Amino acid sequence: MPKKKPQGPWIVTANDLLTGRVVFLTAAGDWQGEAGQAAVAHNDDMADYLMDRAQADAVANLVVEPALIGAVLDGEDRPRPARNREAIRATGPTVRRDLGYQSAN
Amino acid sequence: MYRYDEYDHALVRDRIAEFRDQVTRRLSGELSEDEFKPLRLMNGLYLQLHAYMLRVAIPYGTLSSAQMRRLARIARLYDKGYAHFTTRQNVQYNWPALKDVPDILAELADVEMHAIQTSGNCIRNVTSDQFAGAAADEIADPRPYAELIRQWSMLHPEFSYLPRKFKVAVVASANDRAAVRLHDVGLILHDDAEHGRGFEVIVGGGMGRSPFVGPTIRRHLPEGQLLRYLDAILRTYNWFGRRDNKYKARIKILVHEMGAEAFARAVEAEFERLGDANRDIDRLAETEMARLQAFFAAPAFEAVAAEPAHVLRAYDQDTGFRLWMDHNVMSHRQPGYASAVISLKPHGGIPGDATAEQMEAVADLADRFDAAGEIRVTHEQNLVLPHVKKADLPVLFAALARHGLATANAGLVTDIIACPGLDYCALANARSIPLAQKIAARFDDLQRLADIGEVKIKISGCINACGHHHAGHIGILGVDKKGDEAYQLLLGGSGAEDASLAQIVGPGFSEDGIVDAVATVIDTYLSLREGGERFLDTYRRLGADPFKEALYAPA
Amino acid sequence: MHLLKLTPGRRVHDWPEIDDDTALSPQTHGLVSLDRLERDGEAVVRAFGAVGVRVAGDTEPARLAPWVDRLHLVEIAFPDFKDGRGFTLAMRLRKDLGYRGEVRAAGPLLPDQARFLARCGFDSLAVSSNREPVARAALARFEVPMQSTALDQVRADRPATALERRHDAKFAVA
Ligand code: SF4
Repeated sequence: MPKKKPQGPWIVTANDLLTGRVVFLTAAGDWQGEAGQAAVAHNDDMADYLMDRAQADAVANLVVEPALIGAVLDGEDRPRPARNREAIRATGPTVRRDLGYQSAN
Repeated sequence: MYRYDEYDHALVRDRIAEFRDQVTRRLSGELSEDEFKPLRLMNGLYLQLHAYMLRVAIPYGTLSSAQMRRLARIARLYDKGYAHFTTRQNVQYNWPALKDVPDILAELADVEMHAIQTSGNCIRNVTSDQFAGAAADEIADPRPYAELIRQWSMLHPEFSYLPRKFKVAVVASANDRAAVRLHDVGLILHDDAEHGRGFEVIVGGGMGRSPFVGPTIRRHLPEGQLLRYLDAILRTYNWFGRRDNKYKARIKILVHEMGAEAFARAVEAEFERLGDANRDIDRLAETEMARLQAFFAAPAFEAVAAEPAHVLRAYDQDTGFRLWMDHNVMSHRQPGYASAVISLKPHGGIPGDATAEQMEAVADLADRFDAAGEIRVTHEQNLVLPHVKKADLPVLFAALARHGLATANAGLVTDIIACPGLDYCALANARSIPLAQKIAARFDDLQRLADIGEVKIKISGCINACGHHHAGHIGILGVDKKGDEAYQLLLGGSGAEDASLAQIVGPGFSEDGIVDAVATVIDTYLSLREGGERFLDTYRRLGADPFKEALYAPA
Repeated sequence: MHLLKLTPGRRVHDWPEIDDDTALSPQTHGLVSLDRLERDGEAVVRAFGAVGVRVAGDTEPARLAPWVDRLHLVEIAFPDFKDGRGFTLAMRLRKDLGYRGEVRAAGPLLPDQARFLARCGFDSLAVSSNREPVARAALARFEVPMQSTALDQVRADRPATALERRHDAKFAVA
């Protein structure tokens, strides 16, 4: 996990405790597998707020290792992770396009 | 191979019950993630880039066909239909759910396997020579010693919370096929008229951030004193090893900071203190060795022709078979037999990966063609059928080919060790697997590979060196260059008996740049080699300069 | 906090702790820091019927050597459950120094570690009462150890190892 706070805007990610799968915190306050569904923080207050909620879910044993990561927005304002590492984490191994989160498997 | 008795079974059963309980406590919130993490790690369960990853031990790399079939079943039932064989003779599942892990462990226990101590700051899976019991050059089968150490290390009450992980490797031949000088403890069995049978003890080798070729601290340790001596080494390390900085916590740093001689003196002093009162341990270990050796007795070999005529004919007529024979078939100490290396490095594939179908195919072939029904896992991420009749090799080759398992590249440029890298690993800086694939695409001609000869390319996605880049004739290290993947090139390493550490040649490269760089290094070697020199020999004769010139000279 | 007995037969109980600055007064038993013991050694021994000392897990055993014959309790405080030096300290204390009194484990240990502690020569573990059942379960697991430890040879009340059961007629199960 990055130690320095990355550049905004931000989204919050974690792993589901039970399955280990990569999840993203949505505006509705639940966790979804698709980065595009994540709630976007455009300022520090919002980022802190999202992280607080994520931490609460970590304490409640829903997710583990929540982290604030930098995001970029597409034309429809849907976020995706900015860093290469986070992009691979969100979609799955680049060498198994048949298996990651991008596939139905 | 070794078979569990009631005590081994009881231990593994209790460990599963304990882990099941720990998972339940984690899910209920009784255990925090900080508390659970070291507990799950000690049972081989990581949280990786995408999901949990479970690492299963294959002690000293020996598997029965039934065990291999069970590994395939687990891949299919609990994972995504494949598994990954690692450089430490372990197998990894990339997608298990936490809630399923206790059931997976129970499946493993049925076939006398476990995930105990495959991670965490404890004594890890003991590794050995993949050709143990088959190699013509061995003094004795090293596996009974490895099994003795495995049992001794199982849930060791004093040495389960060490400063850092601890890896032991054992070989019993002058040709080191297990990289013993690059382990926390390396053991080489010797047998000479003067001293009898005993071990050369090497301590403090390793790769990672601070690579070292380990020094020998004892030339000859009588075999019966092995456990007592390991006890002394581990106690010295547990006590003096650094705990203030996790990057300085491995025993290699302690040995380096104390000096090998001072470290050896501390161990010998501890060994003395353990002295007389513990002779009983030696006596029991010696009796136990006799029991263990019986498990590893040679299988019933048949008296067969040393060089069957139809095999010679196939060798002459079929280029594909000839290349495979030349590179993937190793000599065996029994006339008429050979060991067959099953390459898990098909060009374009993922080094070390096997599908459930492939694992089942290998299990079937082991039953059909291996005298012991055994499979070995190598630290180079391949599989081996150790005892195959030469007469069966053409049929075996054809069967392997049907499953994409007959690539004739063992020890050649495309037999690349690659760690999971940024495709799977949470610690990675850069991807390793796509590089291996691009290099394989560049060197896709098997005949050309054979002409180039032995070259060991090893790729790690970060400084932790799981891909053994320091021991590569050509090593590649993934680095992070302002958020982009970049690669450093190292030359001149070896993990064999002539162990040496590869050195960085110069400025790093982009992903495509590093593939070109490897090609340039190989071309340079081809233009400079003399006689039957391997790449490494040429490099050692000439040093890095001609390679640097070719790589970095302005065009 | 609750005291869990790790070795059968040993009687364990709470010990009153005496701060480094509190004046010594006669009492049946008292627990002091190693610094205090080294400072006021003879006075401590005279004041208490039974002397206990609390030490950090990384304490040099040599510091305890002069006292082992006069101590009844050594409490080893682990700074962290991942710091395994306390296991080796207990081992050294018993094996190298021949200490016979009680060894107690304290600090943020996990109840899961109870059996390892017992096998390294600890007699008692301070554990929060909600974690005691887990510690008890841990103690009951792995009945037959796979290895001998250095300590086994100087200790009668230990479990027979798999090696012994396999090869020593003494331990053969009828
Ligand atoms: S070398 Fe680094 S990237 Fe590769 S598997 Fe090891 S930790 Fe992960």
